[in-house]
Amino acid sequence: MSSISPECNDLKKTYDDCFNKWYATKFLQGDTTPACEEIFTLYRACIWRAIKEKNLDTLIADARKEKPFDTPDAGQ
Amino acid sequence: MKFTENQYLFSHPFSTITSANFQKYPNEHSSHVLSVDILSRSVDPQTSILRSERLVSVKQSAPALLRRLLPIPEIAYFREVSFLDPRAKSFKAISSNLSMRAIVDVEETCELIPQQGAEGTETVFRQRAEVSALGALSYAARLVEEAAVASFNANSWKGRMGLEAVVDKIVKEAEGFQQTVEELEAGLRDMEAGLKEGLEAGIEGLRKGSVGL
Repeated sequence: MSSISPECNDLKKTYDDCFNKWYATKFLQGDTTPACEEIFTLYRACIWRAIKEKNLDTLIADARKEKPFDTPDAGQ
Repeated sequence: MKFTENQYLFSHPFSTITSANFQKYPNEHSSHVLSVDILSRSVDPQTSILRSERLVSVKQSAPALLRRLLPIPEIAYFREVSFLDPRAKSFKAISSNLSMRAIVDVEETCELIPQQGAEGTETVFRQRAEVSALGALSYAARLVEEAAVASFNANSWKGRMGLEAVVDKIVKEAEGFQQTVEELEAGLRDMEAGLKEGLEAGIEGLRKGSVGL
């Protein structure tokens, strides 16, 4: 799936592939130690540049404050 | 304020459905979803619950009348936070609009619940949405709410079809993988047999005083 910015597509694909593999072969099997951290850091830096360019950073910050959704009990 | 709810049953286990759900986009029914990005992701060390925060951009499909009344952007952004509990086997995602917050508040909750069906493990997909437009008594607010609910219901069906398509892809991939594993195993067995034969021939050769390898 495309990223918000075309220049992050390759990083996103590498991260998604890493995560999906980890989810199926580790997480669901009971090994919940986080993985793919290095590529996630690179990918996140890339999308945050695009998020700031599109002025979505304040919208996201406001949403995190207004609706933190920090526990599974959130929502309806 | 308006509510709407949809529920679908998938004849696949929780693990397959949640794997498919994480890689749901793109699919042939999701041309309205333009991008999906992961903003943050963490595993709670105490509970093992996986929390993901995503940014989704969607092409708007507001009716022309509404477009004339309100400044509706072509692309709308949503933030989705999901919780996956591997021990309780539960998944819940809550989405809310980042765009047009001065006009409308849309909150959607999706849940995946495993259940035992007649033919094995099934997964129920439950989706609810709550739409509240600002100025709840005005004509425009009613139009906004109705349009949001109509588009939600249309996209909900597309989402259901899309998830099913991705599940099929994943199941086929898993079958392909299984086939590859079986082929590899057969290859290894042949190699082992070959090696054993070679080794035996070698030993036989050594015994006879010649190098048979």
